[in-house]
Amino acid sequence: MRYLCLVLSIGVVLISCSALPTLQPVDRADRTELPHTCQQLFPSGKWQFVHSIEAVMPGGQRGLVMGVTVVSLRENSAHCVLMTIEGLVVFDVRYDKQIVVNRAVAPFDNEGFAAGLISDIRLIFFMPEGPLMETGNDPNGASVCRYQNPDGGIVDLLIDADRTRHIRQYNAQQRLSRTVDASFTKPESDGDGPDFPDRLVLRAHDAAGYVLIMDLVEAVPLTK
Amino acid sequence: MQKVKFSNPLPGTALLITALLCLGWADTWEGIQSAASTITSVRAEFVQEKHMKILAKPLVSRGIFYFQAPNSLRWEYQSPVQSILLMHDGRTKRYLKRNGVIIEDAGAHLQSMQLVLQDIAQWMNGRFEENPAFSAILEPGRKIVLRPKEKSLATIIQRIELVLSDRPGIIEAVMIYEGEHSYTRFEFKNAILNEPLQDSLFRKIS
Repeated sequence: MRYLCLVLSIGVVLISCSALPTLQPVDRADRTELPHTCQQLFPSGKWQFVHSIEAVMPGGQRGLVMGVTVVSLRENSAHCVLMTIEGLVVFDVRYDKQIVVNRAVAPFDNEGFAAGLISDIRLIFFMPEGPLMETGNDPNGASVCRYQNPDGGIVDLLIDADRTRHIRQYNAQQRLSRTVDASFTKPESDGDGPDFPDRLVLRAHDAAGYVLIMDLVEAVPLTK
Repeated sequence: MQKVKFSNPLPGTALLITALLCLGWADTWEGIQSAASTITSVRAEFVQEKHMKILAKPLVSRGIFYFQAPNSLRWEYQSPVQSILLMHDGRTKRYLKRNGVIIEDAGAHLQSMQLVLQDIAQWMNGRFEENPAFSAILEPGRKIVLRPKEKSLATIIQRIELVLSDRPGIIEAVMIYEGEHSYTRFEFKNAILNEPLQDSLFRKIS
């Protein structure tokens, strides 16, 4: 019985963590500043990123690929290539209003993989599509910008006091579907150029949940 | 769209490169086979450059590898990621080192690596013609060109070019062409041949 209570308690806590939290209002100055700060979390212009990507699949199996991603905020486009450590390209997809798969080697050739990858890339590298709904503080004290997605879902951008950044994506039923935790392991830059996280951890919270641990290898600006 | 159903052969390509590295200078297949027969071990550093249209500059990886006849291998990347592939006694494993923690990489490609192992002995002896996956041509200038025989493999790898060194037993570079604008170049340096290597190098990662 005690065990059952413990399980139920954990369940309640997990459910409360995965539901959309209510935001506490911030003061007037923060209300003005916060949307601008949230916008700065995303790369402006055109950038090429190289990450090592460790994928943790539902069974606990792990695998590593290298990911090259070119994103252009102005063109609203993305191009992503996944390759093995040895350099073999296993997946090549381009998004520019529509998804075009140039190459797909098994096991990356299943239906839906490209759409899922582009969706994850958009979540990580692009400002949320919808309008800003509200700003505030979450129950842990993090500053939050909350956006309404066109599909009815919600995206929260969170900034902790220690510079750690988070993205929380909720579906139309306000259930947590994706989280991205961005962290900096190296000292803060000297202001000469944008500050990109050294590590991004994306978690998919649906039934086929997976985790992507992305370590930044290099970020190259493609526009002056 | 190029949709391909094929096991990832590139980890195997690492083995192929290693095997070929153990071959030697020659202008004939017989000469290569003769040089290969004298190799008992190899240790060398490698620099891998990935060239692609999407990349503003080549992606460079560095590492070191060890080979011991007849078919033990340690292919170790040191940057930008730390990854070690071990092959010994017919078993192949790959490990990742992330933030000081060692994790086994259980990628789907391991099965194809096992298949490639069956060809290692042939490559070690310089018998390229006996590799069922590739046709081999020896070209002037100490160059070997391997082309996939099967269309399914050819959609992944167009050809592999190997440039042999003028020093017997050493190759200078390997280029793996996936397409017109995508290729990987491996360059080898500081190769040491036939030094005694401990078995543990091929069984343990540390």
